[in-house]
Amino acid sequence: MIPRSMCIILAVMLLPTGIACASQPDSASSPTPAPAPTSPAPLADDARVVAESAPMAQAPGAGQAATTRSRAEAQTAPAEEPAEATPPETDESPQDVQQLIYTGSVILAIYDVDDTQQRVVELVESMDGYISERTSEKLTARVPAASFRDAMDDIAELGDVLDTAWQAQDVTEEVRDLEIRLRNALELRDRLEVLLEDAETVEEALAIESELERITLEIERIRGQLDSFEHRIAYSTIDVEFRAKRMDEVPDDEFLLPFSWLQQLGLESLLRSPEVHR
Amino acid sequence: MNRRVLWLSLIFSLVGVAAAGCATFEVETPSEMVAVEEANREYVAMTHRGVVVRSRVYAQGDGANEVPRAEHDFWVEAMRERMRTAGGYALLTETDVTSRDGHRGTRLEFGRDHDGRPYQYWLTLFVTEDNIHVIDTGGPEERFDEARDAVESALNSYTVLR
Repeated sequence: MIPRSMCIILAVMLLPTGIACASQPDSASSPTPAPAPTSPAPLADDARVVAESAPMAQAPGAGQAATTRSRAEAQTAPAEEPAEATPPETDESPQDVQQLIYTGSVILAIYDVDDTQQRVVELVESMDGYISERTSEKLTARVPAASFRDAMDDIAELGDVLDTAWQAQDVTEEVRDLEIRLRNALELRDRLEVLLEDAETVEEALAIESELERITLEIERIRGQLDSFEHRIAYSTIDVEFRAKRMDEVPDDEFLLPFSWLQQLGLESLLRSPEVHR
Repeated sequence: MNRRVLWLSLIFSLVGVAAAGCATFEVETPSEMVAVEEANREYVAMTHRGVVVRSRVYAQGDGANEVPRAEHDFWVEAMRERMRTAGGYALLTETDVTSRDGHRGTRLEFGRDHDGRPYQYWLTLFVTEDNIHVIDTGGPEERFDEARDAVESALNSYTVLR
């Protein structure tokens, strides 16, 4: 007969494997799309709160189904859904909304840099954004995602644009994956706490506490990653640089004529020319 | 004695004519400037505060030391892109200009910061059958503004000979 303590230890070690196999996304975990918040909008907080308060599963094997039902019951419904509604179908869940991180760059000619930078700062702040980094040659602006396109267009009006680029990074899968992992980790932590209370030996308690410590660190790490995604989705990044395009960065479709007289144009050559002739 | 003087005068006259015939342009140095170089194909003048006006004339043709022939607008485009992309200069204005002798040209006015200080840099281009005339001028913005009248006087006096 297997000792009780051995059963508990085996259960503790097998729980992460069993729960990690859960593949049913749940409506409660759906991240709220970030429209145009004036301040960073909490993303998936509802899911996290719901997951933390979910009733405990009865047994490891039935944990997945029970968790799904209990989470759905405890869900704080969004405005468009009645509070006592049955769990929405997976294909209607908000988590299917794309989570996009927008980043852009604008390279301006090197003229009136201080004044132009100041105007960029004022423009960004008028859009409820902020400047995260500023040097003499570059500043990094964070603007609400809904204002990203307008911000790019408005910044381009502030100087002679040498180059501009932007991209949208789809992080929907990454966010979804993190929220599933967080939900599973929270459930595991809850179960471990119950097991800890029922531990009959020091050996059992130590094993459970060790696992609790590990899972707590995992929860904090996942939360940190979700916070980072949340902020990057809510606030788009625009790099504004003042520089010349370096020769080795010239795109393939640009061609600079190989004539020395063209290369000799410019202030440096001009202002040194009296020295050359004396 | 008189014959010797006559021969010397003739020789010097011929030399002068030959020299004048090699000149590609003429320009008048304003009183606010000093010319530090005056040659057939190059001219440099400056103010006492370092604002410089320079003219260089490049031969167009098929020779080894000649620039391939191209239209005026092509060279204007080449200069514009050279200054903006590789140089990081901001194009402020682009205007049609005329030399003193009525030759059509283009002036590009640029701005650029160096070490946090704004500078002005102007490029004027005239293209003839045989040559490309490139006149550039510039300096720190506040000094350039002080010398603007002198600069424009020099530019307006520019005569394309060939």
